[in-house]
Amino acid sequence: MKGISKHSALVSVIFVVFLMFGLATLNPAHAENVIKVGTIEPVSGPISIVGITLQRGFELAADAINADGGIPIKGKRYTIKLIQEDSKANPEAAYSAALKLALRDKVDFILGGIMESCIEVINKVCEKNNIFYGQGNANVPGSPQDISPDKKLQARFFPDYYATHPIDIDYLKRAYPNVRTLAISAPDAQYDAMIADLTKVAESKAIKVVSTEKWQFGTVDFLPTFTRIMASNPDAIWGMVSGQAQYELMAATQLGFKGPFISNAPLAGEVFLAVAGKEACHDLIVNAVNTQKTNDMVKKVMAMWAKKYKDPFIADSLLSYDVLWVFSQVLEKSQSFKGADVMATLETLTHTGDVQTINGPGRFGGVERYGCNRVLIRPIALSHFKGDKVVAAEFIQP
Amino acid sequence: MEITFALIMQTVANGLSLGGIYITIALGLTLLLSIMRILQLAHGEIYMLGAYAVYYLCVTYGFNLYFSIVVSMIVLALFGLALERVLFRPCSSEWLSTIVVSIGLTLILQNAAVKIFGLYERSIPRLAEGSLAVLGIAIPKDRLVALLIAAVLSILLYLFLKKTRFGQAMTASSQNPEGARLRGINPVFMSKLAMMIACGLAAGGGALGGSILMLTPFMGTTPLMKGLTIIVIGGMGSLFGAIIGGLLLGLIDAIFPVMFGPLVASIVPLVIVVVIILVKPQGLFGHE
Repeated sequence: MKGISKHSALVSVIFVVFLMFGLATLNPAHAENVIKVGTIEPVSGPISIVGITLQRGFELAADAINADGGIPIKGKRYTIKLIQEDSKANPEAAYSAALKLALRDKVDFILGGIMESCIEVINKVCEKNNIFYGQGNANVPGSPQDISPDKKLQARFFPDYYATHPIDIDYLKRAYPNVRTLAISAPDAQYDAMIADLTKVAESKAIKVVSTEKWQFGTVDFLPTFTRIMASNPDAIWGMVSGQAQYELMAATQLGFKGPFISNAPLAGEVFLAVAGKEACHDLIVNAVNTQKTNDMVKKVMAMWAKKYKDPFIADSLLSYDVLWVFSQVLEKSQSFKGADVMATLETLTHTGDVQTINGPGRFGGVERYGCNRVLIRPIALSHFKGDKVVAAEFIQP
Repeated sequence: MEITFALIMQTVANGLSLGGIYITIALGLTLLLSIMRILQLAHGEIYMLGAYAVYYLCVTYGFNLYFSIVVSMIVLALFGLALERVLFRPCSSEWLSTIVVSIGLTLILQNAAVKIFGLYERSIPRLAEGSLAVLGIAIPKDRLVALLIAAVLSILLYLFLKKTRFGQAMTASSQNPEGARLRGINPVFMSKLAMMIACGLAAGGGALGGSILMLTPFMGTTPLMKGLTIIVIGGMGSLFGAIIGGLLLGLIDAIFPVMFGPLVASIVPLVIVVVIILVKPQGLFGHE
């Protein structure tokens, strides 16, 4: 090469290689004022109905945030680009989905995951790739897969089910002062600590737990379980964190149960009415938002749903809507894309009202139980049905 | 938990009604096995389609529930006729091919159901509301009706097989295919008839199961497993065995979870199957 020394050529080549490498490692999304958020839910497999609904909740939240101009960070407004993946309700698929989001899509954050086994592997990928992970659920709060101080990038945008125990028992006592005995029906899955807590809370209010029956995942016929429960002749029955509580209620009433039934899963009363019928819902208390008597945020999400999807509204979508909406508020307060900064911000949002949730003013907490403030704490929805009539629809601050 | 007379009676009542649904599936499976010599692994999906047909007829178009069940059985029987002609007849000489075809059919029907019906939980109206109080126990009326419908279907099938010319021809075909052929019984026609009856029964079972339990695109898997277990217990090709096996399995599924818990209950049918295979491989009422 005439006029260019070998040394200069080598330097040029190295410069070009470094330049290309540098360009490749720069996150182009930020250059376009876009935040890439990966969401992982089981959109196929045995609980696909829940997964599809949760992904729709994310879509609606992203639509709303983007329609408002995005999230302001350091003087720029960033819109959210969702990249949605399927965990297929199994950890292997969840792991692959998280890897794809981290390595190929190079997302900034990952949200979602509703099963402990999936949450665990998603968090492993996130930790390895230095990505903030906001889990969308905890069936078993405090399980080894849940948040803890040593998991540096994992937070939970979903409250503890423990919080429903005192609220529901208080309400039960107020609404049904004659209730003296309670039976608990629970899936056979690491629920022992929650059962013990509920038993303690109930007994502190002079309600004796007379029966605790566990059933296996995949149960479709609840008659045997409730035959056992009915043998203990309880005044009230508690369906613990179950997506099938509507079938549990149906079995209970078919066997002649006449008392109040409490479901502390976020399963809408309408689902109970549709499956078990209004006669079975004679005294039903659920920890789900009531879509008839509700607040403006829920109405807004329902209207968005009706505009975007042809299927009837499913209240589970509110859960994931809240995850992304609250996350966007945390991001705005953090003013950083770094997971460590977002985590540090969570520790400061500990006063009620620091974040807004669909259920009302919320905050981050959990230090007493988990040693770190990484759990969303928000008002618990409570709806009380007598047949198809809603006698109470409240949001109660834990 | 105290084991009382009322508790035992309650579980027996639950078991009999569950057994009724199992019987509708097992009767069809055993009919196909004895007449067509095929193991129809997509039979659970016929059960599922029968339930969805009732849902659309009854809930979407507002027809009477029982009328919808009858229409669903007829429609699925015709669907069975089409399946026999298009899928099973061309490969009827190869036992393995029919299994592969039925597995493929299972996947196609399940995925088509997801696509067409969606994954949203649906619900067929109850066969009857409320419970019947008898001797201190509450028997859900819908389960009682399901048991009655299953019993009527079983009796009708029995009468058809024993009292009609076609039925006797089918029985002859199942007991001695070669002999039946020599007597002028058309095996293709017998296969068509068997497929129609089996699919009609499965659709009826699906309607009962969908009304009592739940309606999903994957609802056919468990009844298929139950049906296969019943065939092993009752004996391959034995209608009487299917009825007794169905009732036995229904009772096991209802009594064991209550008395010994769900884990023991899930193991017991498998233990029975293993014992029967070891001791009487042809099943309780099957023939060599």
